Amino acid sequence: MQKIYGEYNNQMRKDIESCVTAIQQKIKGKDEQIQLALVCLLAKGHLLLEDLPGMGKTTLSQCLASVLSMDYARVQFTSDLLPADMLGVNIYEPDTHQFSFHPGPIFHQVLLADEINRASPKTQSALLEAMAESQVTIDGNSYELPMPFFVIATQNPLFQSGTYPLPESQIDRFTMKLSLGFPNFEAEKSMLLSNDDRLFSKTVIDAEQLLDMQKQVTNVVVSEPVVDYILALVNATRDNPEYPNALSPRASKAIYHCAQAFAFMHDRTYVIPEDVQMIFPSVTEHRLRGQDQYAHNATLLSAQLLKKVDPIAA
Amino acid sequence: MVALIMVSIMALMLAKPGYRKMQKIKVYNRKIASLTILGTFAALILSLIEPLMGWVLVLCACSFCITLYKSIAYSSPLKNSVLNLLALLCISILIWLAADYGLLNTMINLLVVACCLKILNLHHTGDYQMVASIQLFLVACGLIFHQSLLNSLFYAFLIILIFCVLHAIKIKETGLKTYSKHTVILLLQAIPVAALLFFVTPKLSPLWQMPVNQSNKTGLSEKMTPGDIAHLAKSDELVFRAEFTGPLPSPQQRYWRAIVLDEFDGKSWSISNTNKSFDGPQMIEFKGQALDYVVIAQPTSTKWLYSLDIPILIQGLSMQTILTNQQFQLTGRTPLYTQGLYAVKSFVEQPLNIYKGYENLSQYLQIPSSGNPETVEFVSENINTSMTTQEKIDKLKATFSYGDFRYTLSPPLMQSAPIDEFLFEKKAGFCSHYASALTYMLRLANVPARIVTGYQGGEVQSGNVISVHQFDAHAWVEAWEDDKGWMRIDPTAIVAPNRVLSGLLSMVQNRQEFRQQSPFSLTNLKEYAVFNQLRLLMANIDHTWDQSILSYNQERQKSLLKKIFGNMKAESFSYALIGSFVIIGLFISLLFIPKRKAKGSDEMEWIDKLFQLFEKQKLSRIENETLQQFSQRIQPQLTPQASNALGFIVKEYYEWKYTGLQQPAPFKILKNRLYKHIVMVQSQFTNK
Repeated sequence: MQKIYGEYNNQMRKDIESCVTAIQQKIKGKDEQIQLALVCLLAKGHLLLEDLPGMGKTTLSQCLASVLSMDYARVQFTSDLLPADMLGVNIYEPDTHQFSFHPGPIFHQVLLADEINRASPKTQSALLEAMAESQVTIDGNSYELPMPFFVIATQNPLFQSGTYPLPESQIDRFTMKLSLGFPNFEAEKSMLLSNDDRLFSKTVIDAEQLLDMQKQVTNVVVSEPVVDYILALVNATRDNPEYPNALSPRASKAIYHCAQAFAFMHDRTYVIPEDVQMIFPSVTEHRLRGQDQYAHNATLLSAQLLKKVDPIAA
Repeated sequence: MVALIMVSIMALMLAKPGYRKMQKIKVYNRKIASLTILGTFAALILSLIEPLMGWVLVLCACSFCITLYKSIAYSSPLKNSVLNLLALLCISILIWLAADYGLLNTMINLLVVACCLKILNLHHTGDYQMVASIQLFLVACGLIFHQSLLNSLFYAFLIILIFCVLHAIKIKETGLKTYSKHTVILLLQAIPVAALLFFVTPKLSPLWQMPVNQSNKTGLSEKMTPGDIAHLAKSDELVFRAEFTGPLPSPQQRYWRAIVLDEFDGKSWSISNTNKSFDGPQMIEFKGQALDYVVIAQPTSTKWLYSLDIPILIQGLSMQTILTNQQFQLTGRTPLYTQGLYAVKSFVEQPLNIYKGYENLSQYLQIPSSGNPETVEFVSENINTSMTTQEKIDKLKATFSYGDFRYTLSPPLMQSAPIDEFLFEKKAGFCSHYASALTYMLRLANVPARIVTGYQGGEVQSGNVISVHQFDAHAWVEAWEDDKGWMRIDPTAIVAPNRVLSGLLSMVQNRQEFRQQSPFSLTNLKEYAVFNQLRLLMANIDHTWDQSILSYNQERQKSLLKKIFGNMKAESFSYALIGSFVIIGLFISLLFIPKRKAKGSDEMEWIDKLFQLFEKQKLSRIENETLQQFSQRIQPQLTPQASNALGFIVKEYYEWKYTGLQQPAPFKILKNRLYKHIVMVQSQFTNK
């Protein structure tokens, strides 16, 4: 039983490996971000990408959708975008004399919400509700969203004009926030030399397999010491004036699932504290900062937290 | 005492050092604790100042100042090696001086030195606990020397403070109120236990005898040089209290005999060897008025006890037998180191001749072959052999009546021929001068005579109690008349009759002298009625304390138990006692059953040790690194073997800890499995 499970897992892991290498060919020098994005996906979370324009946010999301052979839609968020534009509308059909539902772009497996902070809060919240509940209700009818459902939102740093910052409550719904950052010299050079402008279209696994993997991830063992460690980390932010936004139980859940996914990706059937440490900054940093997203702190709040809590004693 | 020692043992248990690293003391609490410890330290030293050596006092003062500075302005810890060296030095000095100083005093000095040195380095919880336990022992030592009610209260207060310190270093909250509240509750809970132990535990005679205290304790000595008693007269220390059941003796009858001196060397009187042992009196019919009383004697360093003539022992000391000897004295077999209580019946009208025939009268005629020529001449001029003994006595007594003699507490120095100088030059002296001179003259006149030292008078308190203090010390003469036996002659009474009738302090002149010599004595307040009443009240309370607590002995325990449980066979009683002790012991042992170790504490210890192993090689763990990160970081610096072993250790440990099987295998198994590998890592280090 154990062995079969192991072999089964091995196949999955190979698939994931090839996913990563496939994306790496397109996005160079960002291995960690690619891995974490996949972790987020495996943990059934949603991803917030934050960076300056032109850093490869869209490319990354497109690649992800492509390797996992999921259907993909992109919504460019603007200040006049309405919820209906995204969710879909009931339109009167003169032929049948009935209203029929025309699904919006949200009914795709991967939705890229580009520049989410340019849309009005009303639209933002409509998207985030859909993310949380995996269903959309329009005119009293509920519509299930496709499975797997994965939202990648990108946002521009707030000092750019014409943006509506996401409130803390909304930020909390994103499991992870990643920044791609500038590529290093070598990576950018090889990107320019390859001169490949084609759209990435390589499929490695299908949605079915992804769902299977997501299920397997939940089987990864999280032992009591690791749970204690997670709780110690989370509790260190509560009742501490250094952290204006304490981590919510949703945050601890996100840490838990991401750690499982990370362990799964690294060929382990159990989570170790190192897994928690690896995913911790991207899972918690945006939650800890809250409104203060862009305050320039020398060290990340999450990194301080990791230094403060002893993983062995917890 | 027993209870106190038990308390200290309990404190020692509390003070078990450990978790030194784990516990950090709150800064505020640390400050309070240090200052309190210093306070109790100073108070203890002051109360124990008598047995301490000079250099120890200097050491105490130094360490007090240093610690005071350190506790106010926090500074770096002293090096342990320096302190250890100092301790070694102190101990060697103590050993060097031990022979002259007596075991008990040396031990007290040792404790004080230990406290002094330990107090310099107060950092961890363990240090505070150690100092606190040393101080508890010092409190016990203090109670050896001072047992009065006031002192007991003082020491009780110190104990509360010490427990406050023990408490303060353990808790997170601050505030004097918190410490004292908890401590007082704790100690109140201990009181019933202590009381039970005090009243019920069998009062056995001590297995361990208090070592002889060699410091010169005030009191009568077995050798008297005239002028000695004047020294005693400066002290208002209590000697004993006598509680009478019947009428009190009249002031003239209050001659408390203690020591009989019969050997004279020209200057000093001492006890001759011949009279030192005696089998005990024959049963003789006593007649006349008898006084019943109980004496509560304070500890002294001599074995002589006090009684009026002629004493018949009714009930002896709990610790030892009391002997009655042929000179009508009571003595213990060993000196009275603790307070003693005995009941006596005295036949004051009975002549002191009952042991006639046992005695060798020639001993009482012994005079030194030379010295005091003027006195010899004086006696031979005034006395002729045809006179009767009574006439001789009267004649010699008369010397003092017409000689313009003066009674003084500060007699002039009389060196070469003391009796000549006293009788014919200075004509001023204390009772011992008069007694010495008269006895000498009587012996010259062929009348057997001896000096008796003891106490005369005493202060009458309510409840038929007479308190006798050191300043009541007195010396008088006994002379032998063939038909009457030993007659008491008090030459002092001729010169200063008030001394006998109403005590030393009744004479204004003496009072002034007394005041000059002991300006701080409470007795000085006698003239003011209010203060005198207050003083008497305090003396009464003190007496009750002595009577009820300190002299609680086996007999009284028996009668108390009889009152409570009725008549009970000794055997069944002891079984019941043993049974109840076993039950109590079981209950107490329940408290000490080792609690199941906190989850993972074994593991933490192991991890700590592992990191320490690397720390010795200057490979220390960076703050909150995991074991894996640590091993990966240091791997390049290890030999391949050590690195492999460490890798295996990490892997096994992670699998044990994080695979999260429902019931993880006991840590011991893992520990044993990894032992080999740890040894491997270690050996690779040492090979390098």
